[in-house]
Amino acid sequence: MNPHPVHEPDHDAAALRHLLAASEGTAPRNLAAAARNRSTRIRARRRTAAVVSAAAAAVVAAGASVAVLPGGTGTASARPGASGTPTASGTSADASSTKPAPPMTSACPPSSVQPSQCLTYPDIQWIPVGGIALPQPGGTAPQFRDIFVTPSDEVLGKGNVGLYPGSANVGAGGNLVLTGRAEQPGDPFAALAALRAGDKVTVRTTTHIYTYTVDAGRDVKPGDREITAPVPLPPGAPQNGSGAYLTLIAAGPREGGPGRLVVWAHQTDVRDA
Amino acid sequence: MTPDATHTGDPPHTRDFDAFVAANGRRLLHIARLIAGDDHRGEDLLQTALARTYLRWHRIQRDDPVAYVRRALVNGQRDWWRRKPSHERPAAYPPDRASDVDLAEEHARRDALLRALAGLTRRERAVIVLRFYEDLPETEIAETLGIAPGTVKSTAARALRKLRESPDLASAELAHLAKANT
Repeated sequence: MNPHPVHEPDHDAAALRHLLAASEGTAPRNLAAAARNRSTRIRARRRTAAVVSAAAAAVVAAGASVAVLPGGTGTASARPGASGTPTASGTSADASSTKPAPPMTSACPPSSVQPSQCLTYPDIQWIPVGGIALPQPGGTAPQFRDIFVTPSDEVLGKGNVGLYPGSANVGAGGNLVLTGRAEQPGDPFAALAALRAGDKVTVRTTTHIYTYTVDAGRDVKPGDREITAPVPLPPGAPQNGSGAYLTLIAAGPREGGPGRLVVWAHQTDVRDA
Repeated sequence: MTPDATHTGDPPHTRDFDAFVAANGRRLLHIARLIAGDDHRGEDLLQTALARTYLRWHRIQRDDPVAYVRRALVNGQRDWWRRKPSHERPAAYPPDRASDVDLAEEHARRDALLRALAGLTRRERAVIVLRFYEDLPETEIAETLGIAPGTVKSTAARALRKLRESPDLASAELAHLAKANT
């Protein structure tokens, strides 16, 4: 399936792929916040580089300390976003402002004397990476549910949807595999069993809206790893140029069914949000 | 666990950026560690790349942020190398790392992989990672690294040959893995 052979035995390449993928670690939970924090230091350094003076040097020194950030005199104005060009989409602001903020984690020890000087950050596991809406039976308006990277019981239990292990990223092409509860009415995937071929499922991120058209659905046995294949089952699924697919998995066995219900769809439209 | 007012008040592009990092952080971190050849320096490399990405976020958000971060990682690695050549430690074994999540076997495999990659040049390492982890086509790798597509091809071939001969990544393991794969 590799269009770019390097004149080496294929099995070595396959083994190397496997080795590289299998050695993934986990990202630190404060990755985003730490990077944003570092960007203020870079910005402060750029500013002070223009004014070579002892005072400027002091600001750099202050900017290098995490603890000083909230109250720092020189760096406070350099906070990202404070002076940035406000070109970020307004629609996503409206959409996200109604959502609860992700739980905050503090880098402070509990016994910290001055908690106000500690860096708090949104836990990366609780930052939604997108939303999904299924067509509802009876013509009810579809509601968007948040998509999180980690499909933990806690995430799914709160009516959210999670990325199944081995899934592609939202909006990245490949096979986006999502899992959610489907047991009771009100569960995000409650309407999964009612989906029919041709139905449209909408996935959105802050920048794009993706439409997928349902191909087929069936029950699969637990542990079936094929469902995360880059080109998902069933083999007869229509090939589209973008190679982007959506696989929806019920997060539990279906009552009376032999396994978990899985529905496959392929991407048919991409729009800007 | 209480929602913090400072975050709800954050501008939307901050939330977008956080969502981007949440979705791609794990993968980007692995790329950074592999091309840096060292876990800690990889984390540092990624944080700097993400920080630079955040500074220009409103401009690159709608293009391809992942490609931007990839380029920032490769450039950061090159700049670091030029600035501080003395920091390179050609040790036979990477330094010990504090880690409690990796299982022993996984850990050993990671170490072997990092050691084997350490035997490659920077460019070879980057090509291998972009090619076999990111599955990028040669043209895109060439664009990311700023080299000719032909160079990508020859570099990949040379790197694969080196890896196959690497004692750390004994071909026995490669062959074994290949068998398990098919």
